[in-house]
Amino acid sequence: MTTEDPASALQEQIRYAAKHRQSLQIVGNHSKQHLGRHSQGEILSSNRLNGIVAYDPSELVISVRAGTAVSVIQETLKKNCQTLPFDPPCFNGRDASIGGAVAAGLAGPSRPWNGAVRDSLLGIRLVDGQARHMRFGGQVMKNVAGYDISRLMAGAWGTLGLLTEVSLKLLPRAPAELTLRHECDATQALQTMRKLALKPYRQSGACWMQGQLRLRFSAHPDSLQQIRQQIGGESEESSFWSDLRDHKLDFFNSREPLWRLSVRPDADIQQQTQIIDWAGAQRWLISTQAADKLRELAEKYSGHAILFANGDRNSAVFQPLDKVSARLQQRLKHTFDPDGIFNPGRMYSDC
Amino acid sequence: MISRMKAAAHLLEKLIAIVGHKHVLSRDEELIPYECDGLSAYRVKPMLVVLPADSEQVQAVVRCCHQYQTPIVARGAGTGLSGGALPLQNGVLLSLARLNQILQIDVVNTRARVQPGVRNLAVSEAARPHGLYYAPDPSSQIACSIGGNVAENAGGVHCLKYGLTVNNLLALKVITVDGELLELGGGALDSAGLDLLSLMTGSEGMLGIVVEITLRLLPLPQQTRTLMASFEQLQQAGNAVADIIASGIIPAGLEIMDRLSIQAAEDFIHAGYPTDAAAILLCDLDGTAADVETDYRQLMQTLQNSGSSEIRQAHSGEERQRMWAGRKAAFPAVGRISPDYYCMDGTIPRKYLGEILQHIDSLSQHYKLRVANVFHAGDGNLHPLILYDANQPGELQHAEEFGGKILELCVRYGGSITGEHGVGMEKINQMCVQFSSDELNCFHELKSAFDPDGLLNPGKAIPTLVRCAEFGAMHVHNGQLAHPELERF
Ligand SMILES: Cc1cc2nc3c(=O)[nH]c(=O)nc-3n(C[C@H](O)[C@H](O)[C@H](O)COP(=O)(O)OP(=O)(O)OC[C@H]3O[C@@H](n4cnc5c(N)ncnc54)[C@H](O)[C@@H]3O)c2cc1C
Repeated sequence: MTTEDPASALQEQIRYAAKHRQSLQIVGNHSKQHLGRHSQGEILSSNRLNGIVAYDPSELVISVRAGTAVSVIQETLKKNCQTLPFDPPCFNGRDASIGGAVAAGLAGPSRPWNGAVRDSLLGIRLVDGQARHMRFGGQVMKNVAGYDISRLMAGAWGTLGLLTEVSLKLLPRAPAELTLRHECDATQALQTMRKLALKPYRQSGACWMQGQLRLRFSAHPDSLQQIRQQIGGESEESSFWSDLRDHKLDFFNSREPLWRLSVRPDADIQQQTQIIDWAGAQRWLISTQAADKLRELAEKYSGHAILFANGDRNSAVFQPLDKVSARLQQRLKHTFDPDGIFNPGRMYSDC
Repeated sequence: MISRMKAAAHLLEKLIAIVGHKHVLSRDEELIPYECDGLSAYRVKPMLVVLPADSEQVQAVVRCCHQYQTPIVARGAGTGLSGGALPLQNGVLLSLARLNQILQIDVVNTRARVQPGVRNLAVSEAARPHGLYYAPDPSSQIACSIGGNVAENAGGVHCLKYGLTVNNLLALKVITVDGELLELGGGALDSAGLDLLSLMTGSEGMLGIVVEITLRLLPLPQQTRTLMASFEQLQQAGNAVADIIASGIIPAGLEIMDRLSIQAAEDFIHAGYPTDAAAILLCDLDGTAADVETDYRQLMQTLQNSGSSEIRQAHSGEERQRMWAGRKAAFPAVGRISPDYYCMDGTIPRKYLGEILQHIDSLSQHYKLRVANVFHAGDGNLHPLILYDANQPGELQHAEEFGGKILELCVRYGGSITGEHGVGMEKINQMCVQFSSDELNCFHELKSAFDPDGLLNPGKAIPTLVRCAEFGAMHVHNGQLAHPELERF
């Protein structure tokens, strides 16, 4: 590799840290510092890994360096009527880096229809704990050569290595969007959401909060016209969906613990302050209830609970794993990061 | 030696105690049907075949093999095309065929929970009365098992729009090499911890034995419209695919067949294909009636601009099925015009489709072996079928060499040696071309994290560095050739 490769300096930093068993904190744009568990270490910044490596709209794929801002990518895609299917959130008014977006594995309101980060992630370049710069997956839609190490990085919170480049599958941007609003209670909202899941509409959002169910569709205006006739409700134009995605709604304006419950969509969870998103599969709760209680609740509906923001960032933020999974995850951590230098404790206290 | 035979006898006894006498096969004539999978050029007789009835029995069998340090090769329906289920002489072939129950169709949450031996098509058949279906549809769907689909991350005609197996999975239950039950995913759209569900998908039976799968079901489209466009040049058809995707629509299916496969399929199925065309493009549009209509207008415009000589639309469900029947039966159809064929599975960026098809044509002339092309064009997933005759001395080797060249070409164009069939035994040498030694080492390390003693399907999918050195392959970095100035053939 040539010397101007900005990744080689980072590779050097990693090699040094491994040798001296120093912890590193991987940082993109600091937009997710408040998430995950508290972790300490020297900063390993993806800032200099900047720019689009390859983008050909007819391929529906973009390859970008990990430090590139999500907004820059979205701007470029917009010019070509395309978009990132997982619609990543940007918190605290900061622009997320794409590396951070992939590492956090978070997706916006269209997740049930357009997929998660892992569904779009076609390939990565990664520097692991032995400072090996490796490429997995690729820029093509289909690739089953070797284990799927790319998708393993989505939602790994940087605990397995530094992403230097990612290749993502794109989606054509729908020509139009429609949001329909209905007044109803949570139970009715869930019923409507589940009924709609049996219809082949091009849906892109289903969220209930404070007595209002909002449904979003993304399609050609002719199709939207029909949907509107069939489903009814008040049509609405607002920044609701991006405010929901980026946690800018008043609901999120609280210092109390914010919990995210990822559950079976039909879960009958009755809680005072909650948002039902993802057509039922994602619930946001502001709650001071004991972690165990909420975890039990999530488990009852075959899901898991995360202390998403606020509260004690040194506690078990993510749902504890069972023995078999925990052991395997520790072994994987050791495979990619034998000296335990990357984001120690960010996901779990012991890896 | 004697103690080894003693151990084998003990193992046999224990396995019989777990699954019953009838379900442990050890006599030659019983073993022969399990000698190979869909890649019949490779054959090995296993030491034993074991057919457990449920996941508890699988767990007990795996524990037992672990205790005796006996390697295990899992087998679903044996339709794999890369020798993934090729047995080991000193190993147990673990057939999941008897785990064939659909455990639940959960209509409210649009999902199905199934055992690994359930056939792919059976899921959609069970879901249809509820207005639902399972989207990934490999051409082998009447036979292949869901467990095999997970192990290979199988694709199909509808994966362009609806994703591969990995994009349609919610949960897996897996038996680890030491016989523990590993539960991945659940009822939600994601789970705590690292995404082992994705990692397990496409791992070719080398990280664990899948014993239960929860699949995402989708609502049946209100309408599906099928079009067939003919072209006078294969390259035009290739370019039309890139144009369609660039125009902003994602068809439910987008497949190309070239002249040889059109003719073979027409002789076999009588699908009504134009046998004088150099290529046809089959295209499905689906959704609500209004979605289909708007996509259709866009598609027609693109096709007309792409130089298509004839565009035909199916006017009835029956006609639609006939158009697709030819495509789905293309492999067996080609099997009728040649004693043997060898199916490749490389992928490339779509924009190079036209170019690479020309390369394959010149390779075909060089090797004096015919090639039929029938493939998932929308995904850039090629399936060149190399026609040969195994009874002619040297032809198989020739066909394999030709196939290897095609795969290396795919890597040079920035693609992959396999899009959906897996590496298995077959493409193990080409792995040396696609990956660097660091990357291959990393794969081996990952394998040991799951299977430290190397008992699960050992020797498949990931070559040793020694093997790569012997093969003499050069890792093609980033699609760039070491000596671009040299002529390629
Ligand atoms: C005519 C024809 C057309 C085809 N078309 C397509 C196509 O369109 N798309 C496509 O993707 N493939 C296609 N294939 C290939 C093949 O059908 C798929 O790879 C399929 O997924 C294999 O399933 P199987 O049950 O036959 O698996 P097998 O061949 O039995 O096994 C395949 C691999 O999976 C492992 N395995 C099987 N079951 C389990 C389990 N429960 N747990 C862990 N590992 C397991 C085996 O060890 C082996 O490595 C085609 C094959 C044929 C013959």
